[in-house]
Amino acid sequence: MTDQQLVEDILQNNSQKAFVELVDKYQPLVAKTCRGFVSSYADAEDLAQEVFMEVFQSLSGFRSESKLSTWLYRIAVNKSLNFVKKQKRNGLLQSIEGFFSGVKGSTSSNLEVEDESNASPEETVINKEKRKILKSAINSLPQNQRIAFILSKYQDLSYKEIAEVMDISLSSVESLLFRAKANLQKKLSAEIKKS
Amino acid sequence: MNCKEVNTRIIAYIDRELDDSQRAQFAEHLSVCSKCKELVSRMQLVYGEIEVEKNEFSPNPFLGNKVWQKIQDSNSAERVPIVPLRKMSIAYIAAAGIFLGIALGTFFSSVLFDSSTDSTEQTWTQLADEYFPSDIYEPYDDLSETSK
Repeated sequence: MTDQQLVEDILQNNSQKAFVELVDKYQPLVAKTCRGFVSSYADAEDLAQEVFMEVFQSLSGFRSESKLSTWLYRIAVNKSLNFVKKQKRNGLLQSIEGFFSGVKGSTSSNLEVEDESNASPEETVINKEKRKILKSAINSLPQNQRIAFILSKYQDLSYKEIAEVMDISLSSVESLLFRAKANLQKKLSAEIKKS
Repeated sequence: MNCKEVNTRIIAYIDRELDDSQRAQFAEHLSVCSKCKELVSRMQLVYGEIEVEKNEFSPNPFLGNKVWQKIQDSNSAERVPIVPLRKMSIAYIAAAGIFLGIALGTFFSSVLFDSSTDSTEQTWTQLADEYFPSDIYEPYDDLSETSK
């Protein structure tokens, strides 16, 4: 079934089969995009659930002139950004609570990363450290640079596709990615030299 | 290329965005500078985690049905919505508030009415005092009886 047929089947017949097919088809796209923003696939899957729930609720408003994947990328990016903001806010609240209750706050809790590979304990520690540095550097990028970078690196989208998702010009994408990589390199070099 | 130039091109080098000549100069510098070589190899390890993360993805075959179930649950929850219950309780609280207001209003108005009656009486007594000198008559003495 094409995307158009799936959408029509869901809208007209409230078809579970069509919806499940749509989720199966776009799960990698949504989960991998979310994974770029968050620290584990467990969080990414939770976000993917929210994304598909929103897709179902807003499907009637979807205009077929843009691609379904473009629309999905936008929802996934927005949900992920909100999730990261919420995590940062919670981390801040925890540290404030910790400050007043005398307990050492876990300010870096939002940067806790999970190593989902089947590595040995030592490798796991090293992998965790590497990912923590990477996530911290990616999350410190300005929002638009971060979105462009994640769509480029985690989804291998072309400049044209990124421009469509972000609704900006090709030259803006080029500039965002150039600056994102330059900033990321600065931050990574600093972190690596420190560790 | 010197160390500074290498340091600004590491990600471009890893992402294979350098042209052939730049790539050759970059590699040449690494062959003579152990410090940059170390930094580049560590950067490759950290930056390479993106590819590792991407490859760790394994699709959840139950995600579609799980989300569908959640949607159905949230739809059925909307049929017995919490919001109307809240609206009802707001209405009850408002009605109780109005009732309480009326009751309090009635109570205080009666108290005020009583006190206003007292004050009226007092005013009349004061007026009466002027016409009934206290050394001869008390204001409320029954004059008819005295005259008898």
